[in-house]
Amino acid sequence: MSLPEPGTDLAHEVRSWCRSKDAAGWRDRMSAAAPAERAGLQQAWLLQLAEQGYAVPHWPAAWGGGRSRADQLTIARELIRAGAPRLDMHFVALYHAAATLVTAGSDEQRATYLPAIRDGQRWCQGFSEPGAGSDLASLRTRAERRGDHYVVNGHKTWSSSAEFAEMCLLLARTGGQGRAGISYFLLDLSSPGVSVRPIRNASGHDEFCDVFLTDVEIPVTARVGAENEGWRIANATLGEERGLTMLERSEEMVAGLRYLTLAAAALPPEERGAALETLGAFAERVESFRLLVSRVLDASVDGTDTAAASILKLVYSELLQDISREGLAMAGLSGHEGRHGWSGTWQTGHWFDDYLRSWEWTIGGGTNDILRNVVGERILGLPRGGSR
Amino acid sequence: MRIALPEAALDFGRVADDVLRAAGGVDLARAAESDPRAAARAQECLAGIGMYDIDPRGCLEDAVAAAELCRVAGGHAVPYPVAAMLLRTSDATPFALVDARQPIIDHALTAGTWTAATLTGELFEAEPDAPVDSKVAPFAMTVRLRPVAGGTASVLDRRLGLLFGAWHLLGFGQRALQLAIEHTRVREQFGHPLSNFQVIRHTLADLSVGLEGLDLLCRFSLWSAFTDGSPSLADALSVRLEAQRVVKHTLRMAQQFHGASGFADEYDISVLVRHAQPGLRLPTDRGATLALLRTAIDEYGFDGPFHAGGVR
Ligand SMILES: Cc1cc2nc3c(=O)[nH]c(=O)nc-3n(C[C@H](O)[C@H](O)[C@H](O)COP(=O)(O)OP(=O)(O)OC[C@H]3O[C@@H](n4cnc5c(N)ncnc54)[C@H](O)[C@@H]3O)c2cc1C
Repeated sequence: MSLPEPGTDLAHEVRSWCRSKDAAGWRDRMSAAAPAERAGLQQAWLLQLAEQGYAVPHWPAAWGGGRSRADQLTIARELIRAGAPRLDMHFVALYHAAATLVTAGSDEQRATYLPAIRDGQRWCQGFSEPGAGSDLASLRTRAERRGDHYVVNGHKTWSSSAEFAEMCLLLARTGGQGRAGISYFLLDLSSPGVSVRPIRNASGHDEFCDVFLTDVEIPVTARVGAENEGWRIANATLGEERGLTMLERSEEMVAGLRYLTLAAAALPPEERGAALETLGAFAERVESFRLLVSRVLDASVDGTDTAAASILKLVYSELLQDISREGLAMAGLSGHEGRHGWSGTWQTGHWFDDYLRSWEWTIGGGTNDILRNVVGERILGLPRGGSR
Repeated sequence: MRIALPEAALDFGRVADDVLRAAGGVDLARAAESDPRAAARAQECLAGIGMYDIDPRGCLEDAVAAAELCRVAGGHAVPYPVAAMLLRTSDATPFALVDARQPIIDHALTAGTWTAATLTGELFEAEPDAPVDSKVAPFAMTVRLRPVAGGTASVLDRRLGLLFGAWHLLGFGQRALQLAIEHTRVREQFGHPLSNFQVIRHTLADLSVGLEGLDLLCRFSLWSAFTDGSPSLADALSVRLEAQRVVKHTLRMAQQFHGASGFADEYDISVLVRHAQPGLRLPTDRGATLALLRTAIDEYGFDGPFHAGGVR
C-alpha cells in the first residue's frame, strides 16, 4: 500500500496552479449556474485541467495519462482541497467511457473518442430501463443487425446528464434472454430517432433523463467488442465506477470532514463536546475508508475487480449519508442557510440539500442491497440467492 | 388513558381524505411549487369540509378532528399550513411555533401576519421576509418577529402546535409506507415482486410497527393535553422526537425501495419526501427537540403514559 507524502513537488505544483486559476471560484460559479451554463463552465474547466495534465491522469500514457497511482491521488487530493469543482457532467466520459474504450474498444474507437473526451465531449450511460434496474440483465432494448448497421428500439431511463451529453454508452439486446444476449454500443445521441427527456428529481433538479430510441441506426463499427459480449464489458465499466472513482470520493470525504469540523466549531461550547466525539468517530471511519480504497485498488491493478470494489461503494454511500445527516444535525436550522445551487454532495456547503442528495448514493450504480449480495456471494462464497 | 379515536373524528378524516384525493392528492403539492393556485384549491377543499368550524382548543373532540385533519393532510403533502390555520389566533392570523434565533415558517406566504411563539412561550407577531430558497423547502420563508408586549403563548397552544406537527408527520410516514408496500408488490426484478425479498419484507414490517407506536403516542398525548393540566411540554416534545425519528426513517426506506423512481417527481414518494422536510425540521430539528425535552424533564419530571413509574 502506498500513500503519497503530502509535501511532494507535485502537490505544491497542483496547489499553486489551483491558486492561480481560482479553482474554488470556478466551483462557486458552477454551483450557482443554470444547467446549460454549468455545462459550459464544466467543459471550460476540464480544458484547463487537460492543458495542465490533470484531467486524465488515470488514462494510459499514450492518451495523455500514465501517472502513477500515487500521483493520481495527489492530483485528486490537491484539487479537492483547493475547492476545485467536481466534473459530474464529464464523469461518465472520463471514467466509464474511457475505461470501456481502453479495455474493449477498437483502435479506431479509441482514436476517435479518447481525444474527444479529453477535449470536453460529454457522455451518458444508457444501461437502466423502466423494467430493468437491479436486474439489468433483463433489459429489453433491442438492436437488430441490418447489414453494416443495427436498428435499435427501446427506452432507457435514469440516464444522468443525458440532456447535455453527445454520446451514450448503450446496452441493447442482440441475442436471446439474459446476460449472454447483450451487446455494447457507442451511440451518437444526435442520431435520428433519439429523444431525451429530463426527469425532475426529489431535490428539484432535472438531472437524470429518459432516452427514447425509435429505429435508431448504429453502425456496426460503433459496437464495442463482439456481439453478445456486452455484459462482460459493462461489468468492467461498473467496476470503474465503484473502484477508481472512489479514490477521488475518499479524498472528497476528507474535505467533507472539514465542513463537519466547521459545523462543530460553530456550536455553543456546551454542545461542542458531543459534537467532537461524533467528529472523532467519523474521522476514524473516513480514514479506514481511505485505507480500504488503497487496498482494493492495489489488489486489482486495473481497478476493476467489481466484487471488491462493491465494498467501496457500500462503505462510501453509507458513510456519506451518516456524515451529511450529522452535519445537518449540527448545523440545526442554520442548515437552511447558504447557497442553494446544484448539489452533488459537499458541493453547496448547504447541509439540507446535501443531506437529501446523499440518499441517492445507496441506489445509483447498483443499489446497496445488490452490492451486499455481491459481497455475500462473490467474496464470502455464500450460495447464490435472490439476485440471479 | 384514551387512545381509541371517536368515530366522528375518524369519519371526518375519511371525508377529508376523499375530498383531497378527488382534488388531486399529491398532485396539489406537485403543482404548488410553480402555481400558487394549487394552494388556494387545497384551502377551498379544507374550507368545504368545515376546517374553519373546528375549535381545537375548545374540547378534546374538536382537537381530535383537527389532529386527524393534520394527519390526512400530511398523507397528501397538502400545500397549505393546516395545523397553523387550525390554531389561528384570529380569522386570518395563523399560529406557528418558531425558533426565535432562526425564525422560519413553512407556507409563510399564506398570511401577511402570523402569530408566532417559541416553545418557551414568548409571543410574537411575524411577517414573511424572504424565501429560504431551497429546492427542498419550496414554501418555507424566514420571518421577521415583533414581540407582543406582555404576551405569552399558553401551554395548550404550544402542546397542540407540537402535537399537530407530529400528527402531520405521522400522515407523511403512513402514506410513505403505503406507497412502499404498493410499489414493492408490483415492481418485479429477478422474476419476483420486490416484496418477495426478505430484506424488504422485514424492513416494511419494522416500519409499520414503528408507525403504529407513533400513532398510539400521538393519540395518548392529545388526550393528555386536555386532561393532565401539566405546565410541562415533556410529553408533546417526546412525541415530536419520536415522530422525527420514525417518519424520517420511514421516508428514507420507502424512497430506497422505490429505487431510482424514488427520486423522480413523477412518483408521489419523491414529492412526499421533499415536502416532509420542513415539518421534520421546524421549529426544532431532532437535536433541538431533544435539548428542550431534557430541560422540560429537568424542570417538571416526565410521567408519560405510565403515571406510577414516571421519572421525578
Ligand atoms: C442518482 C442516480 C443516477 C443514476 N444514473 C444512471 C445512469 O446514468 N445510467 C443508468 O443506466 N442508470 C442510472 N441510474 C439507475 C441505477 O442504476 C438504478 O437505479 C439501479 O440499478 C436500481 O434500479 P431501480 O432503480 O430500477 O431499482 P429496483 O431494481 O427496482 O430496486 C428497488 C429496490 O429494491 C431493492 N432490490 C432489488 N433487488 C433486490 C434483491 N435481489 N434483494 C434485495 N433487495 C432488492 C433495491 O435495493 C431497491 O431498494 C441512476 C440512479 C440514480 C439514483
